[in-house]
Amino acid sequence: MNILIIGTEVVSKIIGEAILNEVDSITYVDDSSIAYKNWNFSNPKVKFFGGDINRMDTLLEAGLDNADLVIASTSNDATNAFLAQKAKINFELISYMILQDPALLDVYKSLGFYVIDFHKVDPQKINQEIQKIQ
Amino acid sequence: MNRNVIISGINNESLFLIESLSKYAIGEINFIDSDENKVRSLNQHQENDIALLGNPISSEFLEIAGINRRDSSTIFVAMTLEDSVNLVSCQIALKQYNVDDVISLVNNQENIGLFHSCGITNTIYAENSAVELIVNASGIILPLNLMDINPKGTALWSIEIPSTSSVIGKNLSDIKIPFRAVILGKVDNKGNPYEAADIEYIEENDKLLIISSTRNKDSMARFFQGEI
Repeated sequence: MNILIIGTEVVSKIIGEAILNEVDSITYVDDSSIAYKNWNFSNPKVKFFGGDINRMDTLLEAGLDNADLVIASTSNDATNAFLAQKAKINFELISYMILQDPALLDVYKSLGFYVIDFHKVDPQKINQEIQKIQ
Repeated sequence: MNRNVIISGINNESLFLIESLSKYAIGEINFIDSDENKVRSLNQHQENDIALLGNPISSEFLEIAGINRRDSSTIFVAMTLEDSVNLVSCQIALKQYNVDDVISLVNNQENIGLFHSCGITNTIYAENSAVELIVNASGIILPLNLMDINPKGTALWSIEIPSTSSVIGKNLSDIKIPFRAVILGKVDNKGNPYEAADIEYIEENDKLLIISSTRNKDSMARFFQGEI
């Protein structure tokens, strides 16, 4: 299973670490590589692709087409909701969005999207969900 | 029922919009934006403050702006330069507040299908007006989207062949299209329809019917309407 994680927030790292053993690859994509480099990931399954995450070209070059699951976890709720919907609707991928605003959580949950509450990230639960999807 | 209009995003057209809409006496118009300078600047031009500062994807702020008034039915218009903000704010209006009239600017053409799939069908494509008017005035009719076929952006297009096109006089089998597209047929300048297999050669003012992605709109214009 190939995972594309959009954004390199702390929550992106927590999720990546939680699911690493269950997946074939994780590609992080973000405008800046500073946070990723500081994480010191040494596992060959994990890589980084730099570019403007608001451009579809960047996401395609990062491997959106070959991903089995997309996790939108930037620091911006609108970006996350937008990219996760785009991955689901335009590319028919399973996608998760990380959201901070509780009102948005309710809106997108009611629309049937996979939503993770930024304030309550539970690595174990995410890992279980990945296993279920597999 | 009274109407009130909330316009998310202040830009160069906002003043023009206020002036134009005021002629129709639609109801109260409020602008919202997260940029303090834009809000201040717009309010400076008005007798009463009509612009509010805040996050357009915050439900609390949208309520302050009047999205859930009991005595008024809201028209929500998303006009920011970020498609993500426009989509999410429109979805909040639609799903959380059951606003029936939601209109959005779409800045990137490839996102139009996504907006439509999410139930936001009243869309304005940012570049349409200016670019299309100018190009159409130059004598070239840009590829016309006749019908969206699926949310991934595949659509049925009509492309008129101008006199300067390099494909004039060519048979379809001689043409190698450098992007994914299916030519279904053509309608000639007399209005006669032809299936693709019956097209002997392409003539000036033919209208080709093509299935291709919205992403290829510019490529279609260059390939069929330009000089290759």
